Amino acid sequence: MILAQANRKNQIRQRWDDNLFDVISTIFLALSVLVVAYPLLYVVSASFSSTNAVMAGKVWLFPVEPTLVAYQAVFTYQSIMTGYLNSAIYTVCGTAINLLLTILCAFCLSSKDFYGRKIVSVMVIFTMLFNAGLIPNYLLIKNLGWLNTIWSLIIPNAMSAWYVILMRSYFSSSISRELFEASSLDGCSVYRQLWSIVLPLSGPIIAVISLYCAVGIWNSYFDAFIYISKKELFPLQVVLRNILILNQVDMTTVADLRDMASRQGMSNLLKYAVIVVSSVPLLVLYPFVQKYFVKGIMIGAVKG
Amino acid sequence: MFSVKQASRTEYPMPSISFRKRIKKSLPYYVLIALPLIFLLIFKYYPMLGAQIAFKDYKVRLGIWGSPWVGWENFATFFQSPSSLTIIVNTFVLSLYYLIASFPIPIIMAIFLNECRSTGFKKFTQMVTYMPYFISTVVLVSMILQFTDVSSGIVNQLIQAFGGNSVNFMGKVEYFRSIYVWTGIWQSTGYSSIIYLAALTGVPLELYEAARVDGASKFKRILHIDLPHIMPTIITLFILNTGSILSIGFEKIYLMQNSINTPVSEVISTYVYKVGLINSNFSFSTAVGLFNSVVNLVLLLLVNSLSKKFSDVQVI
Amino acid sequence: MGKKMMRTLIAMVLTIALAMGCVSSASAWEPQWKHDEDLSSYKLCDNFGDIKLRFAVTSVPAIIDWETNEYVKWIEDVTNVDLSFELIPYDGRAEKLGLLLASGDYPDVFLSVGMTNQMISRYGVDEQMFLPLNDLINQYGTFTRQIFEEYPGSENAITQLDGKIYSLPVVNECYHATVPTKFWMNQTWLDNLGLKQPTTLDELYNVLVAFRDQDANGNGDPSDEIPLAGDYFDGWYTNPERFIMNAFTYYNLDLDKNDTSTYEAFGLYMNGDTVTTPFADPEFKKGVAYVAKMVKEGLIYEGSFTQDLAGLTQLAESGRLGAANGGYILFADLGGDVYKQYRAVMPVKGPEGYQGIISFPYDSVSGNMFTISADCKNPEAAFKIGDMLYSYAASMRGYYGVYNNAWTDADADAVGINGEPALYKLLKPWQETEPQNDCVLQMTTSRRDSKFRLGEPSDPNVDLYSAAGLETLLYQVTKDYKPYADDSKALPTIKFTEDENAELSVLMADLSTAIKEGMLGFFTGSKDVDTEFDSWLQDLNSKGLSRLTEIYQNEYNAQFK
Repeated sequence: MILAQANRKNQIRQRWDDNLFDVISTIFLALSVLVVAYPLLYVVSASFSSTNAVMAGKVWLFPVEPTLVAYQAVFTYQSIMTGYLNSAIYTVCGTAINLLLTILCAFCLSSKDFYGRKIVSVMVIFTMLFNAGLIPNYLLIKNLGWLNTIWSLIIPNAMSAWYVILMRSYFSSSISRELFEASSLDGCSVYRQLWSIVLPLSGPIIAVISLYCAVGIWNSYFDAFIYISKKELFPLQVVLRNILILNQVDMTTVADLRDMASRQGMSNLLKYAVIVVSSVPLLVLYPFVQKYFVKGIMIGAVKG
Repeated sequence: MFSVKQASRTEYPMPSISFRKRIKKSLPYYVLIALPLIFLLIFKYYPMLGAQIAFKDYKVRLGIWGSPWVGWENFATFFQSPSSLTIIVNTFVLSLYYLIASFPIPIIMAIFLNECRSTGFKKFTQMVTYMPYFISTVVLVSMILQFTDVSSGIVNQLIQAFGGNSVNFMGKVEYFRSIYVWTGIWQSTGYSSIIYLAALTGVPLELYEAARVDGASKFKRILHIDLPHIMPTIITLFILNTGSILSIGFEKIYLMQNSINTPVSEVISTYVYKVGLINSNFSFSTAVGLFNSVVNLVLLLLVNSLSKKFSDVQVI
Repeated sequence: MGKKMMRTLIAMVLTIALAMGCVSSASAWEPQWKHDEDLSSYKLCDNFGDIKLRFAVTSVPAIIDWETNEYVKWIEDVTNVDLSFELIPYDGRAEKLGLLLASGDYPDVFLSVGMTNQMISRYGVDEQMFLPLNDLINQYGTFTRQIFEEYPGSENAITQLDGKIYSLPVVNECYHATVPTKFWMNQTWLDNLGLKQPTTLDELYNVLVAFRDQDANGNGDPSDEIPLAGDYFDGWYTNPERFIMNAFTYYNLDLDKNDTSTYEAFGLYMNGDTVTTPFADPEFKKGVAYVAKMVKEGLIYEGSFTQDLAGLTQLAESGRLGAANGGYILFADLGGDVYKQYRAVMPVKGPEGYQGIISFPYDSVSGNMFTISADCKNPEAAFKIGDMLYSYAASMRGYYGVYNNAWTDADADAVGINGEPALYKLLKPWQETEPQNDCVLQMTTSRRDSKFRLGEPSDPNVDLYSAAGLETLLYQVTKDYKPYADDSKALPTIKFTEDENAELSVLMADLSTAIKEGMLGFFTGSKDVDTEFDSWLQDLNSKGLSRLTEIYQNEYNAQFK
C-alpha cells in the first residue's frame, strides 16, 4: 500500500517535472518564432509596399500603399525564368554529385577495415583549411575548357570536407558495428554493405546534407560570377544581383540624373522582393526534408 | 565529462593480420574511394600548388611558375602595418565570441523541437526559424541600420516606450560585436539546428522506453540519453568551426562597418580588401590567406587533440 | 605707286590673306553635328567579316544583347568588321576584370569595363599586356587628336609614366559634377519661421537653432525637426560637415567609409605648387571644434555618422529634415512634394571671412575606356574603331539609340539647357532601367562634351523642381556656385609607378582608417578636440601622412613642373 502510494507520488512528481519542462520548451520556441517572425514579416511587407512608403520608412508590419511594382520589375526581366531554370538544374545536379562523392568518402572513412584511412582523413581535412586562391582555381577551370559550362559550377565544389566529416560521424555513431559484423559473416561484400545497410539507415543525414548542399548551391553567386559570362547560363542569384545593382544609383557614373533619381526608391524596394523571389523555392523544399526527421529510424535495426 | 560509450566504439584487440591481407581486405574501399580521391587531387591539391604566389611577385606574363621569388616579403608587408596586430586580434575576438555564443543555441532548439508534442507546432516552428537564413546580408544589415536608428528605429521606440533613453547603437564602439554576433545567431540558429535534429532521430526508441520505466523525467532523459547520443556531432561541429575561426565572413562586417566602430570591426578580410582596392595584388592576398589557414590549422589540431583526450571524439 | 610696287603689295596682301585663311581653318575646328557625318574612312575591310575582333564589355540588364544591338550593328555596317563579345557583369566587374587580367585570359579590346589607372599601370606599363597607342593616334586618330586639341592637358593626363598612352578616355563633361558639394536648405521651413537664407556662419547657426527649437515643419510638434543631417555611406557628397568646414578653410576631405583610396580621403589639395593636407592648419582645428559643438547641441543629427542614404532619405521624406549636403536633392523622391521644398544655399562666410566651395575641374576627359591587347592581330582596325566612337554619329547612337527613333535633328528654334541653340532633339526620354537593344547607354566610350550635354533642348518654362527640370536646375545652381570655387586648388591626375602603388596601397588602407576614426571621434564628442587633436596629428604622421604627401609631391613635380 505504502509502496503503491510512493510509486504514485513518484509518478505525479515526474509529470510535474515534465510539465514544467514542456512549458519552458514552449516558451522558448514561441519566443523564437516571434523574434524571427517580425523581421521576416517586415521583409515581405516591404516588398509589397510602394517605393515612397519604403523611402519614408513608413513600413512597420504590414504593407503600406500595397503595390506589385517591385515584383513587376523583377519578373519583366527576361532572364528571370532562365535564372530559375538554371539554378534548378545546377542545384539538382550539384547536390546529386555531392551526395555521391560524400557518401563514398564518408563510408570509407568510417570503416576500420580501410587501410590508409588516417591518411585520406588528413587529406580531406587539409582541403578544408587550405584554399589555393582565386587565380590557380580559375586557371584550372580555364585549362579544362570548362568556362561557361555547367561543369565549372558543380564540379569544383563537388565534395566538401565538412559534409564528409559530418556524415562519417553519423555513420560511426548511428550505425552499429554489429550490423556489419553480422552481414560480413553472412558473406556480404563491402559494396553490398554500403548499398543495403548504410544507405537505408542514413535517411536523416542524407536529408540534411542534401538540404545544406542544395541551399548552398542555390544561394551561391560567386562561382557563377567568376566562371560564367554567357547570359543563358546565369543562375538566379546573378540575375537578381544584376537587377538590384543597376537600380542602385551609382554616383560615380553621373550620367543622366533624371533616370538615376527616379530609380532610387526602386532599389530599396527591390531588395526585399528579390529575397522573396529567390527563397520561395527553398522554403517549399523544406517540408519534404522534414519528413526524415522522424524518431525511431533505428527501430528493429539490430536484431539478436 | 561526457564519455561516449557505444557498442560501435568498443575497441577489440586487433588480431595481427598480415600486411597483404589488410590490403586485400581494403580493396573494395580503394575502389570506392577512388572517385573522391581523384576529385581531391585534381580540384583541391593541384591548384594548391598555385598558392606559391604567396611567396612570389606574381606577374601574369611569367605565370605562376615563372614569376620571381620574393620569399617572405608579402607576409612582411602585412605584418609591418601598424594595425596588423589589432586587426588579427579583432578577427579572433569576433570569431570566438560568435563561436561560443552561437554554439549552444541550435542544440537547445533541436532538443526542444524534438520533445515537442504537437507535430503541427513543431513543423511550424522549424519552418519559421529556418527562414531567416535566406535573407541576404545586404538586406539584413540595412534592416539592422533601420531598426537601431537612434531617432526612428523600432528598438529605440520600444526602449522609449518603457521609459528609457534612445541609444545610438551603431554609433557606439562597444555594441558592434554584440550586434554582429546576435543578429548572426538570429539568422542561422534555425538552419543550424537541423543537423542536430537529424542526429537526434537516431536515438533508439527502446532507450526512451527503458528510461520511462525507470521513472526518469524528461530532463533527465535528455541529459543521459539524447545529449550523449548527439555529443559526437556536437563535438565534431565544434572542432570544424574552430578550423575556420580566422576565416570570418567579409560581407556582413564590411557593410556593418562605419568609421566609429573600425577599432573593433576592422578584420583581416576587410583590411585585405581595402589594400586590394588600390593595388589589387594577388600575391598579397594569397599570403594573408595562407597565414589564416595556418593559424586555423593550429587551432583545429589543438582542439582536436583536447577532444581526443577527453571524449574519444576526433576529427583527425 | 609704280606698277612693280603695286604687284608686290597685292602679292603681299594675297599672301597674308591666304595665310590667315589657312590659320583660321586649322585652329577653329567645329564638330559636325550631323547624324550622317562622313565616316567612310572607317570602312576597314572590303567584305564583312574579313576582320574579326573580340571585345570585352560590361553586361547590364538594360542592354539585352550586345551581339544584336542596333549600335553594334551600325558599327559593323560602317566598318565591315565582325564583332563578338565577352561579357563582364556590372556588379563586381572590378574583381572580374582583375581576375581576367591576372589569369592572362582576355580578348582583343576592352571597352568600358571599368579599367582603373592602377590596372593600366600594372598590366600596361609594367607587364606590357596592352598595346601602346601613340603611333596609332598620330597616324589614324582623327577624332582623338581633335579631343587633345580641344582639351589642353588631356593628352598629358592619359600618358603614362613611360611616355606611352595605353587607353583612350571618355569625354564626359558633366558641368554640374564640377561642383557636386552643393548645400540644400528647406525653404518652406525658412518661410514658416520668417527667416532668410544664411550668408554667414553665425546666421547659419541661428537658423539651425530655430529649426531645432521651433515648429518649422508646421505639424504642431516643435521637437521632431532635425536641422542638419547627412550620411557617410553611399550618398553623393552628403557628409554634413562639408559646408561648415568650408567656412574655415579649403576642405575636400571625404569621410565616407568606403572611400579609402582617392586623394579626397586624405584631403590632399594644391597650394600653389605644393601638395598639402589641411590637418595642421589652425583654422581646420577650429572648424572641427565648431562642428563638434553643433553635434553636441543637436544641430547636426548624431545618426548621420552611422546611417546610409536610405536613412537620410527617410528623414527627409518623413518631413523632418532641415538641410543637407548633396550633389543634388538626392535625399528626397525626385519631383515629389518634399523634394520641392529645398533650395540651394551659397557658401557662408566663416569667422575669419573665409568662404568657398570645392570644385573638381579635371574630370572631363578621363577613364580608361578603350584598351587594346598587345596580342591583338588587327591593332590598326581595333584602334580605328575606338577613334570612330568619338564621332557625333557614334556618340549619339551609343548613348541614345537609333536615329529618328530615339533622337533626331533639332528643331530650328529649339534652345538648349545652356541657352544656346539646341543640337538635337530627343524623341523619347533617356533611361537605363528598362531592357532595350538599341544602344549601349554608358557602356561605351564617346564624346559627350558640355556642348553635347547642354545642347539638349530645354523648355524655358520648365519647373526647375520637377523631374524634367533636374538638369536645368543643376546647371543654374552650378553656375551660381562657380564664383566661390577655386579651381587652382584641385589636384590634377597624378600617375604612380608600380612600386609607389604597392607602397601606397598599404599606407592608404591604414591612414584612411585613422583619419576617419579621428574625425568622427571629434565630431561625435568621443574624442576631445582641445586635448587630443595634436596627438592625433602625430599619430597620422606616424601612420604615414608625410610619406603620402611626399610621394604625391614627387610625382607632381615630375609630371607638372
